[in-house]
Formats: sequence, C-alpha cells, structure tokens
Amino acid sequence: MLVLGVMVGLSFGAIPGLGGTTAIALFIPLTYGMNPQDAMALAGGIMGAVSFGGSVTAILLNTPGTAPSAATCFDGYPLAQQGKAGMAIGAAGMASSVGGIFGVLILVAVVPVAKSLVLAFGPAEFFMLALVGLSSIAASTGGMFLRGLISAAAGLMLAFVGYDAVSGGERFTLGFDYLWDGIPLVPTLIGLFAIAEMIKLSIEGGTVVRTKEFGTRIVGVGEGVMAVLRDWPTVLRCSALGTFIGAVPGVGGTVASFLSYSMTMQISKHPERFGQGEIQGVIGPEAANNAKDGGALIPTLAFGIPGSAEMAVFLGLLVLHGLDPGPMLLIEHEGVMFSLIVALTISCIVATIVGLAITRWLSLITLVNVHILVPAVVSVSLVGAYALNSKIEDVVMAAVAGILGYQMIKFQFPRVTLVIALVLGDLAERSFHQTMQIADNDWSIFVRRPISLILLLLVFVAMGVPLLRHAWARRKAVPVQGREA
Amino acid sequence: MTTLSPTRQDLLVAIAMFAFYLGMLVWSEYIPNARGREFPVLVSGVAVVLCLLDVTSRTNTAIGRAIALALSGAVDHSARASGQAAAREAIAIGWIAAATALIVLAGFLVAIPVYVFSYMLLYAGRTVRDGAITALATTAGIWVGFELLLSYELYRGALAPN
Repeated sequence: MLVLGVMVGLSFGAIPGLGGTTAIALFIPLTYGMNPQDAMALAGGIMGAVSFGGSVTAILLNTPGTAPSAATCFDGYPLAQQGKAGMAIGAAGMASSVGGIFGVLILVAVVPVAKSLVLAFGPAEFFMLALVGLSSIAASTGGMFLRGLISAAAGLMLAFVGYDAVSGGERFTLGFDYLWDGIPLVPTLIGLFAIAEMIKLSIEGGTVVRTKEFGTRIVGVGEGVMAVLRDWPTVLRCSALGTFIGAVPGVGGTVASFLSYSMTMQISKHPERFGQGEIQGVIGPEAANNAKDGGALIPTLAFGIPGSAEMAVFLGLLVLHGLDPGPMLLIEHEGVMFSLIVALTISCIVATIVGLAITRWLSLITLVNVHILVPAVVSVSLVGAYALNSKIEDVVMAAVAGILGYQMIKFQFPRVTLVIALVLGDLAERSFHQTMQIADNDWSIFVRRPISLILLLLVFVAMGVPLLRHAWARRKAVPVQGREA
Repeated sequence: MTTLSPTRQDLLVAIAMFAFYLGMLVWSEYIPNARGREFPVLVSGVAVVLCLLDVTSRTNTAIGRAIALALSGAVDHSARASGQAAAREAIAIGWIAAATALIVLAGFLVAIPVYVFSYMLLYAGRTVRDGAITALATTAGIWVGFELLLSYELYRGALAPN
C-alpha cells in the first residue's frame, strides 16, 4: 500500500492541476474494504511523495505540478537550463526527505501539547505572518526593486478580486460570476510558469538546456544530495518554518514554500544569485514543502481542524474508518496512527529513492527539441488547469496568465513577487480587518500580543536588511547599466 | 516592420502600468463599502507612485538616472535585442490563444490533436509523420491518464451536443 501510495503521489504531483488533494479524494473509495492501517499507509504514501513529484516537473520544465512547487521553479529551472537538472533533482529529493522526516518528528513530539500552540495564533498573528511574507518581497526583486514592487502590487490587486467576506461585497469581478471566488491560484500558477515558459521556448527554439557543456550526460545528482547535507542549516531552518506554517490552519503549503524561499534568499550571502540557478533556492522550498505535511497533521489529528483542502479530504478518510480526531486519537488508536507516521516517514525516503533512480531518464526531457515539447506541455498544462475544478474558465485563466507571464519575463517584472503577494494578499487583508474588529480599531493589539510583536520585529528586519543591502550594492555598482546611449 | 527600441518599449510599458494603476485607484474609490475599499485604495495608490518613479527612471534625465541608480537595477535588453522578431512573438502567443479558443469550442479531445498537429507542421516546420505521432501520443496520454484511469470527464466543448 505504501509503495502504491508513493507511486500515485509522484504521478499526481507531476501532473499540473492534480496534486495530493485530488489523489487522496480519488483513492478514498478504494480504501472502503481496507483495514485502517492499510488506508493510512496509502494516504501517508501519497502525502509524502506528492510534493517531490511536483518539483520534478518544476525543475525540468518550469511547470509546477502543485502550487507549492512553484517556488522551486525560480532556481530549479535555471539549473536545468544550465545542464544541472540532475543536481537540482538530487537536492530537491534529499531536501524533501529531510524536511518530511523533520515534519513527522515534530508531529509526534507536538500533538500531545498542540492545543496551546495552535490557539496562540489569532487574527493579529495571522496578519503579522502575512506581513512577514509580504515584507520579504523587498528581497525577492532580484535587483529590479521598482518593478518587483510594481509586480507585488499587481499580485495584491489580483488577491482582492472576488467576494470580500469582511465587507460582504464583490470587487473587480467585471460582472463575471467566475471571479466571485477570486483569482484561482493553480491555473494562474500554471499559466505564469508553464505556459509563459513554453511561449518563450517556442520563440527561442533549441532545447531547454542552454549549455552544451554536459552534452547528453545527466550529471550532478550526488552533488545535489551533498549540497543538502552541506547546507544543513538551511534545511533545518526551512523544515522548521514549513512545519510551523503547516500547523497554522488556513495558511498552507504554498505560503510555506514561498516564505522559505524568501527567507533563504534574505539570509544568503549572495542573494543576487537567486533566480539564476542557486541551489539553496531549491533546497529551502523543498524542505519546507515536505515538512508542512507533518505540521498540517497537528491540528487535523489533534482537533479535527483541517488546515488545508488536502487535510480536509484526509479528515474524511479518518472519519470513514471510524477514527475520531482529537487529543485522544494517538492514545485510542495508537496502532493506526503509528501506521500513518511510519508511512509518512518511509514515503519521503522511498519517493526520493524512486525519484533519484529515474532522474537520469527524466532529465533527458530537457534535451528534447522544444518544438516537440511545447505543444505537449501546453496541452497537459491546460488539461491540468481544467482538472482541478472542472471549469473551462480555468483554462482561459491559465492562458491569460501565461501571456501575462511571458510579458513579465520580457519586460523584467519579477514573477516571484507577484505570486508571493497573490498568495498572501487575501490572508493579510482578512486577518487585518478581523483584528481591527476584535480590538475595536486599537492598533496596539499588534504589540500587546507577544507572538504578534515578535513577528512585527521580524517584519522590520525583513524590510530593513535588503534595503540596506540594495543601497550598499548600488553604491558600489557601475551607474545605470543597460541604458541606451 | 519598424520595431521600437528596447528603451522606448520599457518607457511605454512603464507608462502603461502607470495608467493601469491609476485606473485601478479610481475603480477602488468606487467600491461601496469602506472596509472593502481600504486595501485596494492603499495598494493601487502606492503602485501609482511606484509607477511614476519607474516612468521617471526610464527617461534620460538627471533625476531619471538617479532613480534608476537607486531603485531600478540594471535592465537586460539582450532577450529583446537579439533579433527576436515581433511577428514570431505574436505568432507564438497566437498559438496559445488559438489552442485555448479551440478547447473552449470543441473540447480537449478534438482541440489537442488539431493544435499539436498544426503547431508541429505549420510553426515548427516538422514533417507530417512527426506531427501525427506527437499529436496522437499527447492525446492518447491525456485520454488514458484522465478519462480512462482517473474517470475524469474532460470538457467536450461549447459546440458539442448537450
């Protein structure tokens, strides 16, 4: 069951638009006749493997299989273009494994005392958490400070589209019912990354790999694995962040991987290398992406509060098998929970081993002529955009986002800042208004609550450091490059 | 066909973004509920200022150069200056638009083979055999993966009966 789960997870992760939620939902009926242990092994296998599956296509084709894997595109794909797909996949696999195991260990340690941790997070802390993420935008502009911020503003404006739960009105929907639920994240990401890249490739021709240095050899898998082991502080930091964000209901894996990418960039001594094929830009989001599963299981198992759509479906699986979530779950159903924990742990390792074993063949895709690749990837991406919600409007959205993404590449508007803002915008606005309602418009609530205060200080650090760094770099740079005489 | 210089293109894009955010600011002001208006007005207002700085930084003036030095970063025009014909770019985007329109009208299982085959033949300049094999393999892969194995019913198109 575990191996089946891993294979399903890898496949569903690799196909844009499917992901873990769909995989578990589709396989729930299969578990009717199973005992709970086998069902947990299947679900654990899927959950542990799906994020690595999504990262493989993100690295090879700039096509994130799942939304959280989009953060891996930023440096994974440039590495593939440099002929280092093997190194990127090796690093992604190893970081995913370590992150996944880290998350499970924290799950085991924290579930008995999880209540106080989860309840410590109110709207004020959610707002500050979103602000920490948004403030990291300053470090994610890749040197294009103004256009990075303009992109971020576009991401925020897109996040405001739709029905506003706080004010009870609709905004910027242009009269389309489809937009009442807001801009759908997955089709937008498929467009911004996969379709945009395919447009670019179809104009340029050739192959994904832009260097002839390695020929048709796939090298560097071991180097990628070793890079993770050498950079253990990044792995542990991002695993901890991923677990923590996973444990906070309603935030989700996409926020975890993008925040860890930004954090890794901010801490790095060479932030200018990010976006150009920096291996740390793969390690950070991958560790966080897999670690968040252990974290997300904390509120799900301890209180029956699913923090994400995937966990909501998993909760259905628990209930189907007569397992009532709550603090007593670990005690009353020790054997079943042990199966889940073992499955999650082993699946992280098995997924990595399977992934690394087939890397040599998978990476050959980067050597295929783009004119064969482009129509196939565009077709699968558009089907993937449709598959998530069975809405044909999602296909149109992916195409529009693809054309927008290509224009952003062409005119050097960073896509990473737009995506971070799009992911965090709704959370920031909603939790701000909730906080103001709770505090009766008293802003001091943000400094009166200790976690909120700590996060506020982090915001200042996150904004200040890159600004100082940028000013320092500018002072040393050659004036106004690129301007025509 | 005369194409604009990369610097002029950058300036025009900056002006277009300025106009876009100005429009969004005005639109945001018309949101009826005060709470619902706060964030969009704040964000679009800040964006208008940022765009104004961006426009200024793209001009060959003393203040423009100062802003570019402080905030804009080096602009890499290599992608646009390397002879990328505007026509080829428009055609590449046109293929995506055409594929999407065909999917909406005829559904995935008709649109995908038609799109893949015509792209390979007309745009990529490949042989009929290459086009047919790629179109068949892509469609078969999608049909087997989604319809057969996952029991997903793919969209049949606006023109399909019922």
